[in-house]
Amino acid sequence: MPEYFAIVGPGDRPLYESELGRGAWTPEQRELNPFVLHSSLDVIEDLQWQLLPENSDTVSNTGGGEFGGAAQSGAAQGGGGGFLRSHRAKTETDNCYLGRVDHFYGLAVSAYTTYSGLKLLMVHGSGIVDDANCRSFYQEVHELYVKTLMNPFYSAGGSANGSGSGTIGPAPITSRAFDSRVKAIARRHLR
Amino acid sequence: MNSLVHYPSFVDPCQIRTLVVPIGRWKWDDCELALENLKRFNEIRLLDITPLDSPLFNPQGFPQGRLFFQFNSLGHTDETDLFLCDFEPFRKQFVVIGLVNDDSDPVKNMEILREKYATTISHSLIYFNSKNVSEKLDDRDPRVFHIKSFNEMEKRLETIICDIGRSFLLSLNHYYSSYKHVTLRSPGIIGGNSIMKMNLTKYGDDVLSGKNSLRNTSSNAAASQSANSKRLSSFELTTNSIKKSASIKLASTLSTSDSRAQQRARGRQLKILGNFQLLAGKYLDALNSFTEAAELLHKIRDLLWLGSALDGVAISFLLLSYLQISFCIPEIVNKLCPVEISSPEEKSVNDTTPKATTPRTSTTVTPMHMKSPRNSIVANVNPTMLELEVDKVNLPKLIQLISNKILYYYELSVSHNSEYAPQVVYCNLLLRILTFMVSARSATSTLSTKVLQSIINPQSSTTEPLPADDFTNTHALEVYRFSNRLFELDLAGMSIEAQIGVYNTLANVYHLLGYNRKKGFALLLLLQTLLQDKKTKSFKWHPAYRELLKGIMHLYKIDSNTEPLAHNEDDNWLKIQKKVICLCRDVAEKVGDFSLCAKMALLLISKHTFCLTTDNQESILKDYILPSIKQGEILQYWDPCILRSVELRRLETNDPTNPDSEFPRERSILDDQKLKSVAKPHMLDTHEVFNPFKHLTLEDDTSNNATNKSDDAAGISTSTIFHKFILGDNIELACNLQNPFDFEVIVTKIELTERSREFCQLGQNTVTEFSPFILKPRSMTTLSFPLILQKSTSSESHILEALDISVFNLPLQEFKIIFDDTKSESGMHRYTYNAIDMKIIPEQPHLELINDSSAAENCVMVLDGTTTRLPLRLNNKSLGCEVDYIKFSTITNIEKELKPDYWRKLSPDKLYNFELGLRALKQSCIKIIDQPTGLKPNEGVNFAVDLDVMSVPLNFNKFDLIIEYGMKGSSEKLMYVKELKVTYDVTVRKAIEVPSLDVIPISETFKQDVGADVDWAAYLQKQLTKDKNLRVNDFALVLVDFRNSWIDGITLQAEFDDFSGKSYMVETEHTLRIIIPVRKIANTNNVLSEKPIPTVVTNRQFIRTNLTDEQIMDVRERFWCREYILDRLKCKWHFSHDKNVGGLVDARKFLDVFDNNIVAALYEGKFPYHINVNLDKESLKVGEHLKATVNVSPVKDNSTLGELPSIILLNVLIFDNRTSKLLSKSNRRILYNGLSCKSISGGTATETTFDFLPIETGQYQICACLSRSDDRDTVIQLDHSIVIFNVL
Repeated sequence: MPEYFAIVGPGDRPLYESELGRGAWTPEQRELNPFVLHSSLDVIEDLQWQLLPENSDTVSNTGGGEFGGAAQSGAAQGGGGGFLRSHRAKTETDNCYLGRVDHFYGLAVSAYTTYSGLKLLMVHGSGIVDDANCRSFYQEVHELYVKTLMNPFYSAGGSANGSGSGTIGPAPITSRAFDSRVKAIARRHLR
Repeated sequence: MNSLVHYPSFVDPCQIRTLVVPIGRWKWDDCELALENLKRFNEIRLLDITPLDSPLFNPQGFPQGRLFFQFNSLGHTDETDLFLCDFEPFRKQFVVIGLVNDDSDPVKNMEILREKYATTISHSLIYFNSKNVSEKLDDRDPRVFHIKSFNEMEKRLETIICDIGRSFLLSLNHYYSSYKHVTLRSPGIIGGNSIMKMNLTKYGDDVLSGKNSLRNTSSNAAASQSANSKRLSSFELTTNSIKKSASIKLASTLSTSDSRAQQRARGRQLKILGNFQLLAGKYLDALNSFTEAAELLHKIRDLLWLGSALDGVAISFLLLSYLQISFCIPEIVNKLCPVEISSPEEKSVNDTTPKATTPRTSTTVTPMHMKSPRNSIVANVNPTMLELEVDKVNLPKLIQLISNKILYYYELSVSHNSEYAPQVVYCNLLLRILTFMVSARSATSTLSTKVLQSIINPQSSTTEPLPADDFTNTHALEVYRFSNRLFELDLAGMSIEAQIGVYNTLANVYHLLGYNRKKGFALLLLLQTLLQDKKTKSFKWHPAYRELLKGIMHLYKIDSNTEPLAHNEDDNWLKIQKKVICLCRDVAEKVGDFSLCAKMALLLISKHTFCLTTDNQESILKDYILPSIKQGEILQYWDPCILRSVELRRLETNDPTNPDSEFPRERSILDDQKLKSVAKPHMLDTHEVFNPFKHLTLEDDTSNNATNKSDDAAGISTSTIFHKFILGDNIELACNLQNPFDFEVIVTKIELTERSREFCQLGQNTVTEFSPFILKPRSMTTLSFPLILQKSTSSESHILEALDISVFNLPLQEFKIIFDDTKSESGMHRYTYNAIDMKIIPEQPHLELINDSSAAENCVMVLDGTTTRLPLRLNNKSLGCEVDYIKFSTITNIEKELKPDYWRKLSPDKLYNFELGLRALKQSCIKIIDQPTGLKPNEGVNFAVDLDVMSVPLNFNKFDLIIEYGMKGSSEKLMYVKELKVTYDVTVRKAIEVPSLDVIPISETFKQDVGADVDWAAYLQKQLTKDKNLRVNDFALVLVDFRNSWIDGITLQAEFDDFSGKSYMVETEHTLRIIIPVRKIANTNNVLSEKPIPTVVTNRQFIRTNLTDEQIMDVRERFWCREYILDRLKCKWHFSHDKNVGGLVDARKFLDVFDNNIVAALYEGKFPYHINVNLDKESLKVGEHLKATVNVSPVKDNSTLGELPSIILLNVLIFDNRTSKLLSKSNRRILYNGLSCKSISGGTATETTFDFLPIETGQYQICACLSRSDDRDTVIQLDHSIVIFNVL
């Protein structure tokens, strides 16, 4: 099934977007995808401050429930707020993965947030999120993005003319190498 | 009803739907105001209503009850919901109120209302401000009311609405009676296949790929239930299973279908009675009816109606709580939705809000609880499931549990063929629960009055997003997740009104949750729904649309400013924004708001040009922009950067390489006082410390050549180009226009701005409305116009920074010249502007120089030493301007090539010589004869240039004649000065050159007859005879070589002081040596070595020669000797064949510095001693004694040559006069008596005598020589005054 993937920077500005996976979106759906992703940012921003449960072995869910299982536990603790799902996760990148965060009709939305506030999101046409593969995909793309940041020609701090309303943020990623590598990662992990 | 602002409430079923219809001539605002006033009295106490004769709906039966009116101004068609009239009777429009503001007949109006709204059960009329309508009507018809003025409205409106309420209750009584004996059918049976069945799709399914499987089996629904309602406690889950088994047993006991049908009919009747009782405000009765109905319907598994009955129970709970009436939780509710009982202690701890006063009040009414007829079943039930006091349970949680149960029952009912819940019912319930969850977000275990108020009357809820802390019990994410259940439904299949309701409610809920992006998305879906609606007439324009569109634009951060963005095609965010704008535009178009539509189209075309395809752009122009321009919606062209550059060019110029050369220089006219004040700073102040930068700062003040101005105060960055024109010039204005779009831009007019039109005007403006200029798509085009200069700008200059341009026939608009449209790095300025600083100066005279001589153009050949006259003529070509200022000046090539520090490396004598040449160039070389002072228009004047090349340096070959002229005219401040410059090439042909000069001493005396025809000898003799003191040794002979370099013979004559030589003829290419007798420079009066070398340019500082004192003295002696000769030596010449052509020879430029020999021969004071040799006789015979007396005396006591030795040797040297050979000390020609060398005292004058004995005839010279020792190198002085004697 097709997937629509995007990296969203500060000010909701998409830095990169791509269609991955097999199959193709219908034209109507293709138009709708960015809006679905954009609307999911609200949920992600709410989720990223939820505390992880003390004794949770994993943040993953098996595709059934929403909000990566963490939200429920967070809710069970009565909110309270914490720093980016806190340090209780097993590995550093584990708590970046938020899992399935939203759905719209038959579409599921999964997300991954970096410590710099960058959000990686994907609309799954199948409506199913395979957490293990998805997490690997996100982690590898995150790594790739960090490498892109190190490119001296990439303006990560802000481009004066890159944004219309004068908001300073990272420049959109236009590198073809980045695009082809993301697609290669997708071929490896997403089916 | 305003469909865009309706926000459903959980207790919607208790609200009486009332339609307000304006009759007469209402203005929109007045009608809105009246409606708002009505809405203020939407809650009526039953206590205030006059009792009526109805056992069921008598307000006296439950005076605490309320009537809730839902006033709407938009009609709702009952027909569409006809299939629901049995199941949910509250959907009906019960009351119609006609608001009348004219004097129409009440009876007629009432008839019209009844006709138009036949299904409505109660009709009323309210008359506003209508005086002529007789008040007797009030008495006749209790449904017609009269309000005299708006002031009276406050007092009367509540009474009127109470009366309307009474009328409604009466009508309801009749209406219900019609239901009493009717078999109530489910919506599925009434509507048949046309009813939209609930279509639940779990989010795992792929709806979009078309596999819309109807997975609405109970198992799936149950699964979703379990997945979605995690709040259900494990306790409930276990009881659920118990209940299920109990229900099955119950069902099996109801063996006969008759009793089932009866029970179902009874249950349904009770449920519908409950609904009517809710409307009538009798909530306790309603609770009882619903409870009873629920019990019956639960028994027979009539799930759809059971759900609805439970819904009624939940609403009754809330309303009773709102009225602060305590009640018991019915057993059936406890059974179906078991809830944890909180102990009073626990509650007191949990209850943090003391004002959250629920239920426990003085008015305790014991409910008329109707126990289930099957006591046996009740007896079997666990005692905890019996009736509970409401204050022992967590009411919000209970309501949620009941809601979930209802949803569960509705989902289960879908499997049934006819007894299923229609989607609209399910969807409506979801929305109501959602609003309840939002309202009850902060409630812990009880519902406060405030919360209850917001549940019952949600319109009064705040428009600000709720603070996150509010969500104590219900997490925002949980609310959101619940809202997502709506997307499991096939919303697109629902009616348009229902869809709008759903999306609007969702947007409101998201807003309250603080999910602005979600809100934007919901509104977007709402817009799409509106667009998909085929019935265009169903939605008329409403101000709320504009607010809605503005809201969406705000949410998607779309700036309504149409200023174009910096070009960046990769910004995906802009693509999203573009889609939103497109959608908004389509909606605006659909509802007929063309002004907004034009604005959106402009936004698209100006901000998102690069996201649009060619077709898109063309269609936007054609379909939206051009029509809007015609209608006057668009008044300005949207691209502020249309004008990219403006250039001004002079079309005619005499010197294309340097067109500025024709322009006169500006010079300010200063009066005397000003001159003084200006001159002052340049004067040296002796007390001031030397400031090397002073001159520099003064220059800076006067210079105005700044090319860039940055007007920071105005916040505008502008770069300026300077242009200068003369009135009458032919100027071309070329403007570069851009068209960044994919369509043709039509320029209908170009004009100078009003400020510019004062000075200049466009000639032959070919761009007009009828012959517009078309800018091709994506192009930059240059347009040229002739520019006619009309007025001079005098001392000021005019800045051309904009042009007035009309595009697409829009009004003329000022466009600035955009230099750069990328944002500056500082981010301060969006654009960098260009400006042209143009100065128009008045018409000026023009002079031309005519060469009157026959010589070739500007080439002169002159003979060295002569003076040549060049006749010239000056014409003023201008026919209108006179020249009243004229100044001549010249400059030669030597002056031009002169370096500023030429004097640094020259020794003082050479510098003097050089500067003397320069002075000659300046003062005497070129002279202007008959200088004119002014020229009238078209006047010619003759004048001449005299060229005297006698003293000019040898490398003189060119000079410039510079004529500065101008017209002062009437201007008092400024004058423009033009310069006419003519360069003459001069070839100086040599006539007489002086290749060399030598000076020799004279030793012989002349006999009288010798110097008769030898001019110099004759002169000497004359001098010697004239002054007996003079000796021949006092003179020297200057030998000057004159060379004739000319092609003809030249006769020349030399003079020196009072000596005038003979005329000599020198053949061409021949050299003649002329002997000139000069008197030696006497030592007595002036010591040359102490006389400084004069300077031509005085006050020159910091001259360092790097010479020692001795060298300086040497230089001075040589200099003065040279000056001595050159000052006095004069030589006239003329052609031998033509005496008229002649001149003078300036030997100075040919002769270099004299050498020491010449100086020694010429200057006596060169040596430290004065030596005088005297012989006792000049002629003697062989064998006679000769006595020579040598007087040696020091010139000065302290010689400048240093300390003189105390003892020096005096040698006497004898030469053979003919051969000039020195005779050795021992020879056979002259014998010395004693020694030829004697020691004498160096410091004093001595006289020494030497004796000689000549032994051979001949002529001898005798001279003295002073030395320090015998060595040759120690010679101090050799006496040049040779004495000759003859030996016979």
